[in-house]
Amino acid sequence: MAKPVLEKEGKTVFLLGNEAIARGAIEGGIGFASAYPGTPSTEIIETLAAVAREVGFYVEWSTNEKVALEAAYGAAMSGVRSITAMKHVGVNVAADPLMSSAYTGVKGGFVIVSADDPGMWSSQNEQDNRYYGLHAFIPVFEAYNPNEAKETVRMLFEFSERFEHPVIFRSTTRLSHSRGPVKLGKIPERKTRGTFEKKPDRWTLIPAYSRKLRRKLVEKWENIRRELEEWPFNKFYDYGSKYTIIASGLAYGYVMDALEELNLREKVNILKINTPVPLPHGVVLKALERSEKILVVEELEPIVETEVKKLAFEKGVDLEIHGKDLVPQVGELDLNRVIKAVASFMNIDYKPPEPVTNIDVEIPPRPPTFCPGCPHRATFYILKKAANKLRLKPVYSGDIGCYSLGVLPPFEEQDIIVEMGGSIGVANGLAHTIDQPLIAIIGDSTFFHAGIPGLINAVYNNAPMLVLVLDNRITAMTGHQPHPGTGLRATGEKTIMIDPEKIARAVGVEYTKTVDPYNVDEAQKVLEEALKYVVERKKPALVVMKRACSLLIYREALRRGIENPYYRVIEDKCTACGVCYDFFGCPSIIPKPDGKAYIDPVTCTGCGVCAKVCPFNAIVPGKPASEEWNKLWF
Amino acid sequence: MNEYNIVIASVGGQGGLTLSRIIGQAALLKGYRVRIGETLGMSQRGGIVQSYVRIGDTVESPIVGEGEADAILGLEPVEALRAARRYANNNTLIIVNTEPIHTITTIAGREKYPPLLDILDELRTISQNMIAINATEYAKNKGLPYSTNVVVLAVFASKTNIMEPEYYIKGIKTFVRRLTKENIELFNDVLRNVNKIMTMFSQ
Repeated sequence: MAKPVLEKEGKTVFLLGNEAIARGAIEGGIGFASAYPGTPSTEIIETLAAVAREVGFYVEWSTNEKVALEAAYGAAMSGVRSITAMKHVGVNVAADPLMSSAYTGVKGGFVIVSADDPGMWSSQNEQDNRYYGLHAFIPVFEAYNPNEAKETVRMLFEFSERFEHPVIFRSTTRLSHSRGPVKLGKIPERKTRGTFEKKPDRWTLIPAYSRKLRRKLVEKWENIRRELEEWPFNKFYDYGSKYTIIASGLAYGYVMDALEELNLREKVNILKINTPVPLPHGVVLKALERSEKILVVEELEPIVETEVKKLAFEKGVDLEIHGKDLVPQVGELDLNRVIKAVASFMNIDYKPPEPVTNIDVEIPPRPPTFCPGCPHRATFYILKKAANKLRLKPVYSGDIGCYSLGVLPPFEEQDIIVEMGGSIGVANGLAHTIDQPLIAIIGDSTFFHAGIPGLINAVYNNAPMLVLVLDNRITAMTGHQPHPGTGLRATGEKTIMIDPEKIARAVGVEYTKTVDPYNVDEAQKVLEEALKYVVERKKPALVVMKRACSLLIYREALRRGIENPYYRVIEDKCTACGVCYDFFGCPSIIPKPDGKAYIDPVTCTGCGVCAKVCPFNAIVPGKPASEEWNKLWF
Repeated sequence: MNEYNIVIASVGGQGGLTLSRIIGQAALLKGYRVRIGETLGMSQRGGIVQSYVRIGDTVESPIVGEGEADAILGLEPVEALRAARRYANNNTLIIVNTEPIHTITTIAGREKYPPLLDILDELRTISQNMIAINATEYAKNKGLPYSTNVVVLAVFASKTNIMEPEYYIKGIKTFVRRLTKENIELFNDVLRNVNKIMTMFSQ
């Protein structure tokens, strides 16, 4: 069977929002795609990577979002249609070239996908990246379902090329991670090679040229705004009402469902907007003139609302405009929030459904946790033991990745988590201002992404810290993408494996080691030695904790039909002390009613670290690892 | 067709998302309009995973409204209750797998995992239309320890008539990549013996 994303023209297939965006890029004739993974954007490039060879275009996972955007921008300079995709906070990393791309423009169609995360399902903030469009003078497009997303992205390449200007397609978690039917269009021939035409007054942003380009940019912006009057996914549905709801992007779906729920469909005018930045004025004015009351429904910040109010003021249209006074600004929208806002706007009495429960069962929370066999759990356990043994109370400067979960009990070994690479970065300041020893904890992919400049800084300015690179051989958090340390590229080709320890050596870190966290005793010895070095010599040190992600290996074993090894508890030796489930917290170790431990043989990966944790030697191998299983790890 | 809203509640790794995709694909092949919302969060790491399958001509948004679920498929008891409190009404069909998965806080003794019977009692109070079955044990007995979702799907298929079984089987073929044939056999087996299984594995 063909991959759904490559099904034939005319077929309707069921696609994830991100797969629809990928199909849109294929139908739009891309020749180049690059990204750094980040939820909820990851599946776009993953989907493209899986079909790149078959369709014939270039795909890469780049080291970070800045490099990804620059690479796609470069390809577009040469006339090749290109796409880059990143999560909303990734755009912060890429903001520098993003701003410049609007000044120089591009030759080939250039689409930047920003996947925002209202509600912060897996992000440190819920910034609204439509502001980047306003900030950089780059038009922002949205869609309310996967089919519209596919069509929009397809059309954007032509649009971008016509204006020789970059465009942003802004998705959100609820679009990227929702599925719907998508009607497929033609997969065209594509251009994968271009030419770079030398034109210094366009491609070199020295002040003299930038000043001219800045003037042109503002002009272009108004041309783009005018062109968007005709954008087919902006639509005014005039039902002759005095009330109009303006719905931007995904909000349109919620508004339609809310109207259905309140029996108001076709009884209130709807202006559906998919181009919030720059907001086309003509289509909005038409709606304003037909109405006495307006409600703007949009997720997060009042971007459309502000522009609508400005327009009404400029044109002297006197009417009531509502928005963030009725629609919550914090968190993502859902049907109930929109129903409430619409009911209040329409002066309808609406009572939300009451909870139907009357027994008070206390539901425990279910925070995410390290998987069975996760090497990070071993690392945090060993690190705690090492620090305790040296009677140190270090500050743990943490970072973004699975290991962020180390903030939770029983470990609590992430005191600061702010952004990608921030572990080493922030420690560079603390090193000169506090007396506690500093441990910067960073993942392998994050180290390559944004850790290296911070490390160089620590050497250059002599900031004593122990940098722990938690190297699980993959970008795990986002679903196992390869990175520069894995020896593999996005489309599966083998490549050079870059070693974090060698980088540290090369930039002048004098104490470096690599150790396996499954090797508990040796790893603890190394960490003690490294910590002592940092405290006594007052210099930076780096230790790589190297062991592959157990989830990756477990899944691979399932796929190949290789059985997992497991450990078991010797009943008579177990004293029900609880150390293994209380202080180690492996989900495969479950307390029995009598307090003794039980190890689930289905989910245990046989890492054996708990056997080291048990003070009574009650945990022993149940089923030994097969040769095939051991081979999976290397 | 009239709107039909399904909420699937599970723990990361149980196959909740696959289940929603199977039902969605089935509905699409049947010719229904369908939209799925997925709440992943940190799903791979034992967190809560909820997905929403919305079928119907007027459906436009990906999340089910509070109290609006026609069916809740709970692959884990506490997660079924968490979802039911938000999305169920007195008529909601609730199918719950009775095999608990402890949370990391209940393992470490910081919280208590509530007694199973209390969970089932509350679910029954929410809706009389509640089926409790140890789907995990049944799947394990059939040699498919990862197929809790397929057992629950088959019970759902047998208790509703929105689609014929063949559509679900097509959905399984599309989204179950490992042991596909065995899973289809399991689906058919549960379908054939649903009443017997419900007596033997119910609580």
